[in-house]
Formats: sequence, C-alpha cells, structure tokens
Amino acid sequence: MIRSLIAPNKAASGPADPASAACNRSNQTTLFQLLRYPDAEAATGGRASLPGSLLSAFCFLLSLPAYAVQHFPPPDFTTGHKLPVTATPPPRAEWLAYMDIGVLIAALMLATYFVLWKRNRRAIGGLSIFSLAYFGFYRHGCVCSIGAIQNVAQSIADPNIVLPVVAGAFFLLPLIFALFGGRVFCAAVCPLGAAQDIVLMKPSKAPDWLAQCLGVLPWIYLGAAVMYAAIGSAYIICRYDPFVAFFRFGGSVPMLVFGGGMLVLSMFVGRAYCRFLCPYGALLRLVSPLAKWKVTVTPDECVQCRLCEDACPFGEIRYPTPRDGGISRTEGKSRLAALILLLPVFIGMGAGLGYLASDKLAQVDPAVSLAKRVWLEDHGKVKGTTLETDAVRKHDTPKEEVYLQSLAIGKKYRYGSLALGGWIGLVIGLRLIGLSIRRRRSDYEADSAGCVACGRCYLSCPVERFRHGDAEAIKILEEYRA
Amino acid sequence: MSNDQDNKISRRQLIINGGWFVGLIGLGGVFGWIFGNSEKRMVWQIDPNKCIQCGKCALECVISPSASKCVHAHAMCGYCKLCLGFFMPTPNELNEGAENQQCPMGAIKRTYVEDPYYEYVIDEKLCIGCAVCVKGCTAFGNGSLFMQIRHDRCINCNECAIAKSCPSQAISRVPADKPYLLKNKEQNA
Amino acid sequence: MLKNDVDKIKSLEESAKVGCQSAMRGMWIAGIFCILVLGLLVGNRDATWSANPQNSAPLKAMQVRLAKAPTNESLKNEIRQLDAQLRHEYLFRLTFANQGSYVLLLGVVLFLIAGASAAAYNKKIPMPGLEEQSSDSVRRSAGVARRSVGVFGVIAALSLMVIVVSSQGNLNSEYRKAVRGYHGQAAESGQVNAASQAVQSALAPATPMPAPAAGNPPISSSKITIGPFSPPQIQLVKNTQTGNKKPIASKIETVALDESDYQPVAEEWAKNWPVFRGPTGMGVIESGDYPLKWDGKSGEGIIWKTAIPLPGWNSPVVWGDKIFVVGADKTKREIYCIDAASGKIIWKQPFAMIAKQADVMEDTGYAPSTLAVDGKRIFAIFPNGDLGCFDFEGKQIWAKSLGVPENTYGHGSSLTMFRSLLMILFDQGSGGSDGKSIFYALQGGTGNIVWYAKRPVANSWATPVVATIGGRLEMLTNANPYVISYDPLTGKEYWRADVMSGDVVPSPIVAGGMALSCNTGAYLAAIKPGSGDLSKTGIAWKASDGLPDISSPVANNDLVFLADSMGNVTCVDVKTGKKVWEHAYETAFKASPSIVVGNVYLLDSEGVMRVIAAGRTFKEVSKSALSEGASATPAFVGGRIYIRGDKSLYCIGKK
Repeated sequence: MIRSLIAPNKAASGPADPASAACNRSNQTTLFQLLRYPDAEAATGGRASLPGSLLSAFCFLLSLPAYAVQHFPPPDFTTGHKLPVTATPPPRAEWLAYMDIGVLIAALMLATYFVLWKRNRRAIGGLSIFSLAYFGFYRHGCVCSIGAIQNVAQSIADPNIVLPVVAGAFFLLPLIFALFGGRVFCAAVCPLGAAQDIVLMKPSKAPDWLAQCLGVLPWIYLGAAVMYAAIGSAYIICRYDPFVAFFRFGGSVPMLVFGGGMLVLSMFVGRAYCRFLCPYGALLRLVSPLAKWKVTVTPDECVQCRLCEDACPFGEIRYPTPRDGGISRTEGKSRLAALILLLPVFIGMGAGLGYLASDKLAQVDPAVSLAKRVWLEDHGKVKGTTLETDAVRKHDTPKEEVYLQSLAIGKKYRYGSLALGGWIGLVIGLRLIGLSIRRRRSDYEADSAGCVACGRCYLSCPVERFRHGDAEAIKILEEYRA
Repeated sequence: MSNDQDNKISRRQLIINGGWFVGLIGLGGVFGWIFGNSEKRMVWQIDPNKCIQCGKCALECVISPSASKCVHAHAMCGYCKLCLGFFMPTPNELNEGAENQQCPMGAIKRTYVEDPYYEYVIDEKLCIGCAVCVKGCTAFGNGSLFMQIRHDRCINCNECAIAKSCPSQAISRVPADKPYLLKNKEQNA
Repeated sequence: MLKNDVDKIKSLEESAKVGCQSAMRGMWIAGIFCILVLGLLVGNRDATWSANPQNSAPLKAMQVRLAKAPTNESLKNEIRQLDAQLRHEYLFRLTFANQGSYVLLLGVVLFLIAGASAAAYNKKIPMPGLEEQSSDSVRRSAGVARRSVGVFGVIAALSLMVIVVSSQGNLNSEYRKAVRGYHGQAAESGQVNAASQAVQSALAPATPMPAPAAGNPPISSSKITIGPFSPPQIQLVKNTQTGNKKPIASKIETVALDESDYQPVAEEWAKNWPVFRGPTGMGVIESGDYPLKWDGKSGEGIIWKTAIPLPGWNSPVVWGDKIFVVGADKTKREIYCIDAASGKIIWKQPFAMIAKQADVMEDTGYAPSTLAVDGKRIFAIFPNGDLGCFDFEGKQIWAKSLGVPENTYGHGSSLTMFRSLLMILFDQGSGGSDGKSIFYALQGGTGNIVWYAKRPVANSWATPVVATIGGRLEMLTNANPYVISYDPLTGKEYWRADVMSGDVVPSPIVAGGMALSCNTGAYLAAIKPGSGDLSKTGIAWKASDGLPDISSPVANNDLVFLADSMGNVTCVDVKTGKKVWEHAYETAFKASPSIVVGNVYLLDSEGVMRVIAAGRTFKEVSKSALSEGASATPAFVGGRIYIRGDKSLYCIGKK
C-alpha cells in the first residue's frame, strides 16, 4: 500500500506562481523576501544568483543563536485556508498497561497451580508458550521483571525519578509468588526463560565446578546493574538482554549475535541465561528457599530409586547424603571458620579494587565521557569533534557545567564502585562458605533456591507417575520394592 | 538420635518460617512504598529545543523505520515558497522534482495555497525520521518542522535505544498524559 | 501368543523408527530453511542500507553533475527515475525484513516441533546411575568446586586490576581547575563550593549599606549577598490529591514592613516619571503641554541627544532633573544617570553579575526591565534575577539575586513600587502548580522580603500596576492563564480570572472601573473586581480584535487603544468592548502607546512617532521621526518627551 504512494517526483503542473507585488516594494533583499519571494531575486539577479544569496543567507543564519527564532510570521490567508492539524497519536492506552499486570497475575497463579497442584509438565510448557507469545512477542519483551530491577533501583536512589506502576508490579509480583510457591515465574511466565526452555533439546550437564563458578555471575551482574541504574547512567540489563531483539524483530548486530548465540547454547545447556546471568533469578534465589510450598520431585515418599538423578537439565536436584558414613560431622569445620573469618578480607579487597576502578566504570555515563571529550578537544589533545561535543557548543552550555556534572557523577561512582567491589567480594566469599557447608539430606530433593519449577523431574519419578495413574510406573515401583 | 533430628528439623523450620514472615513483610513494605510513590506511566519523547538533528534516531531505534519522525506544527510554519526543509540548499528550480527535494523519501507534499504561500504536509507513512528537513527548517525557517517520537509506533522500551545514543541528551521520559513536546504552545496545552 | 507379542513390539519399534526418522528429517528441513531465511535477512540488512536514497552514491554523483549543468532536462529525469526506484526498493526491503522475520519465526517453530517429536521418539526410559554417590566423590567434587570458585575470585580481582591499571589518570583535577570561581546552576545546587555557600548564607539577609562616614567607600565594600532565597532550594512535597510530586521553593523568610523606611510623597511621585509608563503605570498624562512635531534628521524640536553606551530595551525613568536608564550586554551592565538639562551622563555605575548570565532572546536583550526610582533610590532588575539598589550618586545600597528564572525569552517584567515597597513580578516555568512563579514585595531600603505570593502561572513579561478600583487599592498582574489582583500591602489575593493564554507581555490597565487585560491569541478582557475566581462571573466583556503582542493597551474613560507589532491600531469602547475603529500602519509597534492630554502617542519600531486623536474617529494629528529605530516606551515629564532610541536617548521639547 505504501509503495503505491511512490511515483517519480516530477515538477508540479499546479498553478503558475504569480510574481509577487510585494517583492517589488523594496529593493533591499532581506532574508525574509528571499525565502518567501525567491522569484523576485531570480528575476533581478538571474538564476545564478539564487544559490549565491542563499549561501550568504546561510552564513548569516549560522551566526544566529542556536534556539529557533520565528523568522517568518505565520501568514494570514486571504482565502480562508485552514491549517492542517498536527496529528498526535496517543501512547498505548492505560487500561492495557493494567491488563499487562492482570495477565501477569493470572499467569503466575496458573503457573503456581500447574506446578504445585496439577504437577503437570505439559501444562507448564503450554503456559510458557503463551507467556513467550504475550510478554515476549506481543509486548516486545518490555517491561520485564528482570529489567524492572533497574527502575526500582533508580527510583530508590533518586526520589525525583518516579517508578511506573507497571514496572513496580513486574518487579514485585514474581517475588511475592516465590514466597508462596517458589520460582513459578521462571517456570512458565518469564518470556526469556520460556524461550530457552522451549529450545532445550539435548541438555548436557555442566560440571559442578563450572556451574558453581558461573553461578556467581548473576550476583555480580545484579550488583553492577543496580549500581549503573541507581546512578542513572545506563540500564545494562536491557542493553544486554539476550532475546529482546528477537521479540522486536530488530536490533543492533551485536545484540542479535549475542541473542542467537544464547539461543543456540540453550539448545544444549539448559537455561544458560537464567542460571549464569539472570540478575532477577539471583533475587528469586534469595526468596524461593522461604517458599511456603516448595517444589518437590514428589510430594509422596521418596523410594530412593535414583531415577530422577539425571532428570533435571539444570542440575538442581540434590542427592541424599551418602549413606556410607564417610564424612564425619566435624569434617571441614576449621575450613569453614577460616572462610567466615576471611569474608571481611574478601569484601575489603573487592571494595578497594572497586574504588580504584571507579573512573573506568564511570566512563559508561554519557556525561562523564562527554566532559572528558570536551576537555581533550579544548586542550588540543584530540583532533576533530563528536556529535556530542558539537551539541554542547551549539547549545552554548558552559563548559563548567559539563565539568561539574562529570565531577558530581564521578563522586557517585566512587561510592558506587566501592560498594560494587565489596559486593563482589561478599558474593565470592559466601559462595566459598556455601561450598564448605554440608547439609544432610535423606531424600532426593529439588534445590529450593535453584529449581525453576519446570516440572521435568515429575516425569521421571515413578512415585509421581503412579500418582497420576501410570501403569508402567507400578511395575518399576514393584521392582524397587522387591 | 531421632529426637535430635526432629529438633533439628523443627529448628530449621522455625528459621524458615521466620524468614518467610520477614520476607512477606519486607516485600509488602516495598509493595506499599512502590505504589505510594509510583506515578503515571511515562513515555519517551524528544525535546525539540535540544534536538540537534543528527539523524541518529533514524538509525538507532529498535523498530524500523524509526518511531521518531518529523512532525509539522503548521501554526508555526511561515509557508515559505522556498522552504529549506523541503528544498535542497541550492535547488535547481523551485518545483517538486526529485532533484530539488531534501527528503530522501519524498514524504513532504508541497501544495500552493495562495500567493506567496505554500503548504508543506508530511506523509508520515513515508517518513523515516532522518531529520534532514528538520535541519533545514531549524536553520533557515521557523523551526516548525521538528522531531517527535510517534506513540503509535513507539514500543516504549525500558532503555530507549535512541535516548541512549542521542548526542544532546534530548530524549527523556515524559508523563503519558502529555506525551508530546510540541514547539507550538497552543498544541502543547 | 508370545509370537504375537513379539510381532507387536517389532511393528511398534518399526513405526517408532520411521516416525523418528521423519521427525529428524523434518528437523533438518526446518533447520536448513531457517538458515536460508536468516541468510536472506542478513543480506537484506545490507541491501536496505544501500537502498536508502540518502546513502546512494550514484544519486549524489548525479546531483553534482546537475549542479554543473543546471538545465540538463534528461539528467533531471534520470535523477527522478533513480530516486523513485531507490525509494521503491527501500520500502520493499523494510517490508521484507519484517515479513522475513515472521517467516523465520515460523521456521524456528517448525524446527522445534520436529525436534520435540524426534526427542519424544528417542526418549529413553530413565535409568538409575550405576553407582550411588560415595562420600569420597562428594568430598572431591566440593573441593574442586571450592578451588574453582577461588580461581574465579582471583580472575575477578585480576580483571578489576586490569580496569584499574587501564583507567589511570582521570581529569578530575583539571575539571576542578576549570570550574574554579564558577557560580552556575550546578554550583548552586550544592554539588560543589559548599564552603563558599556557607559563607554566603551567613551574609544573608541583605544588609543595608552603612551611611558613608567620609568620602566615597569603594563599591566592593557593599555586600553582595545571595540570599535569603537563593540558591533556590527545591524540595519535593507530595500533593495528596493527585499523588504528583512537585517542587516548591523552600520557605522564604519575610520581615515586617518597615514603616520608617523612606517613601515618596504622593505629589512628588505624580510629578515625576518614576516607573514604567509613568506615575500611574498606565501611560496616561492628563495635563501639560507636549510637543507634537520634531525631526530627528534636522534636529528640529530636539533639545539634546545622548548616545547610551550599552544597549537595552528599557524605558527612561525621570526624577527631578535626573534621567535614569540601564544598558547591558552579555558580560556587563551599567546604570546611567543623565542630566535632564544638558543630556550629559552624570555618572555610570557598573553592576557586577551575581548569578550566572541568563540565556535571553535578542528581542529581550540583557536589560529589558525598566528601572524604578523613588526620589532617593534607584532599583534595577536583570534577566538573570539579579537585583540592585543604588542611591542617586550611583552607590550601591544593596544587591541580591532571586536566582536565574526559567524563562523562555529572558525575564522582562519591569519593576514597580508602592510606597516603600519594591514590587517584583517574577513569573517563570511552565505554570500550573510547579510553584516557580512568585510575586515578591521587598522593603526598598534593605531588599528584605515583606511578603511574597506563589502564583499558579507560566513565565510572563508584563509589569504589575497598582491602582484604586472601586475605592480599593489593588495590584493587578497579568500572566498565563490568570489575571490576579493582590492587596499591595499584604499580598493577599483579592481575585483572579482565567482569561489569558500564550506568552503574556502586555501589562494590565484600569479603565471605567474595570481591570483590562489583553494578549495576542487570548482576549482583551474587562474584569469587574470582586473576590475569588471571577473567570465565569466577573467578566464584563471580551474582545478579540487587534490584540497586541508586545505593547500594552492604553485607555481613557471612554476608549481603549491597542497597537500590535503588525502595525494595526485598534480602538475599542470601554463600556461595551465593541470595536470603534481600526487602522493598519505598515510598521511594527513595540513601545506601548500613551494618552497625553487627548492624544494617543504611538511610537513605532522605526522611531516614528504618530500622534492620533484619542477619539471615536481615526485622525492622525502628526507624524515625526527620529533618526533611528526605537522600541522603548517614552517618558512624558514636564512638557518634555524622553525617547530611548536603539542607540541614543532623545530629549524632545521646546528649548
């Protein structure tokens, strides 16, 4: 339809332009007359003079201040011509925003029902396809709970920034549901999780040591995202969102390549983003162990059949404590004590390094990099200008303002990166401590923090299958009982 | 031994229950705080007075063509015959021939109104937001052509790609009930 | 029986094999399809770029050729053809990218469906591992994990160190050097210079200058204070009704009215030209013998002409034998005292910048506001909110800053006075409840605030007027959207009326017992004073012909005269609001008209003064020109007319 609008732009065959009487009134060619009555100019000086006088007019205009001046008073039409109205299409209706919250609540409730009551992997998968379609492709992946962390962080840090209700709801609701039923949000509501879960085909198990190392990343990512958002420099979670470019059918090349890589990786490594990057997952890890009703492989008695050992593609099923009694209760206690004592050292080291790195981290902020560039240009250290520094000069912004802003933001970064460094130290220290604590388990259990409630393990547990009336399961159970 | 185990479990359960309530109260508090402080929805918009017409929003917007397009405040327009938003800086002739037009998409329609006035109307379906016309109009004319984010196209990303890359930081969030920053005061009201 | 079962299983296995194979085949086909579509989309990306007419090199080359041969019609046709072709192509590419994405998505879905069914065929029955975990393996794997996390921590620390090393040398000390001594917005908002601000606030409130004991103390000894209400401190309060956060200025300290402060005698006031538009503030002179004709070129009728060193659109004010004007450019400001008899500049007094210079439009300039003079003191305000008080010798008595206002064109409202109070209409911001617009009444002798009123209006450029209407003293203000009347002594709001819009420059006047306010794009509205909101109840009439945009209206008891910047002069009946006559001059009126003993004096921007009869029919009495343009409203005192031209001050009268 649009293409039908295109035809070669030819000279108009409209009304002939009548020579203006007004232009004869004055011999002096003002810019006003030049643009309103260009014919007069052409008539007196010939066509060749038109570009010349335009050039001089251009030079004159460039000397004007940057703000627009009403050079030409709007005309009074004698023909009673009506001005066209400038269309201002409204943004997405407000009720639709509340509908998003409604859909989120409904999806979370359904997910809780499917995970905890129906215990049905197929229903969970179906809901995740819906979530992928709605929150992903229909809502273009914005706003999502993961990104909402930044809105919340920024509005806490800067009271002048208001928090949109939708962002607040997306941040809180999954956490509140996690307090009741664990990470049901990850299971079937998060479009990023759904995208990875759907493409998962040949899960390969990441070695435990690698999973433990990479498991630290979400926490660091969370800290960095909160710092950058609180200072107001950038929303890095959105900037490095793996799939949002797909949801929007477009994006920068690095974004598409990163997203494509993540997707291919997710075919073989279960939920790579969720497990090793997602900062919201880190928050859910904190809340989900407190859940009122936890996800279990089976709510009935575990028969220790070991059939679920490999069922979890995300490696979140914890084995029972070996029954050979080879680990004494006091083993590793001194190591644990040492690590706990070392924790402040880790934090201090991280904080110190973070503090020292603040200048580099601050370069993400456009105001900081702008000030640097302005200074370098003004002192002849770099050649040429950038669009950014041109804008500063065009708007006549005092250089002092630019520098002051950079100094103010730099100060914030010194505190921010100090905290971030300390946070990284804390996270690594706690991970080491966590690896030195041994919890006793008598049954196979889903890890209450890491389980994303996908429901895959339900399919391998014979007790569970028996509950659902699977005849084959009875055989297996009998075998085990025997 | 089994008694010890039971004690242990109940102690553990006690801690978890305590944590649960602390978590519930904490989240409830955050919930109350958020909804006490949150405001109207916000949408992205360009401040036309800060815009330097670099044309980056045509390239950086995540949707294609860009959600940022040129709008025309007709009430501000001088209806110039030689409009340098419409024409090349040195037009061959003052007609609608492609060789004379600035707009790469031919999206501006020029019609004769009355001597010496011409009307310029943007066909928004064709506009790609390159800001070439805006540059001409702002430098030479009344600045009645300017860039605005069109909310029928904008998908309101949490981090707006063009706001991020705007050299003059001209793009910020505005309340959704006043989603445009038109230069023309009457239309803004 | 057994054979049957075996056959069954065999056939089941056979069909599973076939199903699995076809699913795998489907997966392959869908996968290859996806890769093909992906390849097309990637290619399309490049093609889109080169199809964009903006990036087309051939088109550019053709344009260059056309510039050399401007009459080559076939070349023009070629350009048009290529242009149309490129635009076709470009739009096609955009559509292709969008639709291709859907096709790719479809391909991925098919791939996943095929993959899922293949996986279903391939599903292995879960089997337990061969061995149970032993304590040793648990211990070993925990140890490995611990060591790797440790290594990870070391790597994290090392990468932080790399960042530290690579970020050596920041420019912060250079920035600090560059901003030393800078008092800008950022400085005011407390990001730097906290110490110097503490000093400044210790100096507040402004202290009157001690009487000079002997000789002239240097100007620098007079204290420049910033405060008590600058820097403008903004705090956020919550409006419970709407939940909106809005900034309001922090509490402003006020002092009681100082009755002992000097105030001019009413007769003296009326005899001089103390503020913008004279003693009434409305440009009406009821008696006197004023010249009708002069000529700037020949000098006929001109007593003297004095060049004013710095430019400014403000009008002259006159007290006794002294005339005061102010001039300013971006960096300096001077107040001039001129001898009425000779035209010599008696003194000029520079006034140092307190706040950062404001951004102003050319039409506003750096000295748009007319001074106020009360017989003992001269008051000046500048677009950046700097305020100064000087004595008749030019010595600075006090100075302060109101903070740089948020004003589109630059603050332009002139000062006015009531007894010993200096009245400042300081409207700024975009109006509504942003709380930025404030009316200040300052004690003339000290500059302390006696009262202030927050105004729900946008930035405006009109000057307030104090007048008695219906026996009550009212101070009228004109702004978008309200005309508001206050008690000039206390600041209590008497009434308001929502009749204005746009950028309000014309000042209010009083005629026929009503307040008249007008602005282009709104109305000329006659408001009968009352109390409360008179928007619906108090409007006597509204007219919309010939509304001025810069100049203020002028009226006698019968007629209102309007002059706009398009050269139109309109006469309106005060009682009914009906247009009596109109006349179009081909010029622009920026200076406000005055009614001088039965005639309307209209000064246009080219410096031509037209005198027309203040009557019900249009009649031009005389026309006189200066030798330069003029935008300031003239002063009429003692039979002389003082006109500030673009460069010089003229004294017109009988020698």
